[in-house]
Amino acid sequence: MKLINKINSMSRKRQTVLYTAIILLFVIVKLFFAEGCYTSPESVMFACEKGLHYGPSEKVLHVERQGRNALVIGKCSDGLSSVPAIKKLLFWELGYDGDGTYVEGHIQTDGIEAVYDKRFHAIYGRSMLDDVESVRVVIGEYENGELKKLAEVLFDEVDSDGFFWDSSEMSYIDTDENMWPEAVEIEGFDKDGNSIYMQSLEGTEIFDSDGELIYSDLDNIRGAE
Amino acid sequence: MPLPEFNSYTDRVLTHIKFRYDHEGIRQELNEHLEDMTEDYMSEGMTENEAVSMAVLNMGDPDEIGEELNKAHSPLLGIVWLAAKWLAGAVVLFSLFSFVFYAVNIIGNITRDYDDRQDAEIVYTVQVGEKFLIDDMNLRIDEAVYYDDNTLEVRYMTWDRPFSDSISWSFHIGSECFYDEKGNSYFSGSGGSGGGPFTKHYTRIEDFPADAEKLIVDYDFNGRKVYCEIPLKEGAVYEADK
Repeated sequence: MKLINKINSMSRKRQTVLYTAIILLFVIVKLFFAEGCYTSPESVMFACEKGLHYGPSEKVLHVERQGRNALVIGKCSDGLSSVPAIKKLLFWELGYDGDGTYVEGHIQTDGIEAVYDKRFHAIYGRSMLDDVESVRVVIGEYENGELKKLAEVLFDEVDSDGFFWDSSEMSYIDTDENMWPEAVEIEGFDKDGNSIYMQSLEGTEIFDSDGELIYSDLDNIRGAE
Repeated sequence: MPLPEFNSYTDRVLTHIKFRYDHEGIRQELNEHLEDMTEDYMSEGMTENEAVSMAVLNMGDPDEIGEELNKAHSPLLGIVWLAAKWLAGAVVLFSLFSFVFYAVNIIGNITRDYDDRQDAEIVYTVQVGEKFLIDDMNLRIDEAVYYDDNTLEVRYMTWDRPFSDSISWSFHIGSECFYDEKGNSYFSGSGGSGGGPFTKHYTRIEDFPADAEKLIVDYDFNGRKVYCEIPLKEGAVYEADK
């Protein structure tokens, strides 16, 4: 009662300031701590990494904004982090417009990894191999037991972090809700254009610049056939 | 009951005040003031009629007073103030209700015992109480329960740090995290989680030897480590001894 009397004895201006502060405090607590709202797509990614217990990303490699949606790609010590965010009024939340909260999350990468995101019609990935300067990615999908190639993109150069991204028409695949295209072939080339890394659904082969095979896990598969 | 002379005076003043919410308060204040003045004049020897007329006269020009009061009771500030007052009231009430609901939920979650299996009998229970922090999530391994079908159930609770900005996902201490003192690895056959901000989980390890001395929990996921040795023989409280 004393508190209410004290507030009532204040000037109307002071009361308005006090009430506005209470409302703002409530909005901040409600939005940021209860509703999972964030000020930027990047902060959504960092919050998601904490919740999924990986990362944190050393840096943000790419933020793709398409309408209300954003896809944030971060650089992890062992690969990539990929988290979608959607804008709601002034803030950002985890998710994608009309497609729930599917999150690629942590993309662990040993050699070269590539991902197709059908929501953003984008192919992206990262090479952990220092000698790889350019990458070829084939996107495909199994249809009735047969592999169907849907897109093929040559990334002329990967950046200093080994990251590559394409959301041009070349990466556009007309998908429906039952289609989940994926990278079915990834090839890495050195500065002279020699193929030094090849990953397909059969396995992975790594070569040195002279074309000598360094690593292969195809033998086991072929040997078993 | 205010006199008609007072009412006509205050009505005249109020015609100038645009913020109608304040009309009643101003009317009451002016009437009280007029009544006080009337009483003072009557105590000085005036008749009631004379005192009333004198009070109204000495109050001043109602139009001038109305204009001044209209400035003090600005309709813009008044509307903002009133809206903020009601909204803040609603927010405080809602927050109180939410807080009580949340607190009841949390207390219920914390005090609720883990559910014992109905399809097997408990042989022994080991209280653990080891606490870990994984990013913003607290993890407390509460107890290990051994059943007569050779299943060891590890019970643990998770909750986020206050004001954590992390996005919560389901959590599970999964396979390849459990060993005995001889280094044998065990796979968790099944597991489950409750709801709420303080979530209780269980992980069941099937075919766990009854004579094992220790359960070692060695969780290592993306550099997040949990290591805990649970003494099964030393710490066991047997159901048969209860």
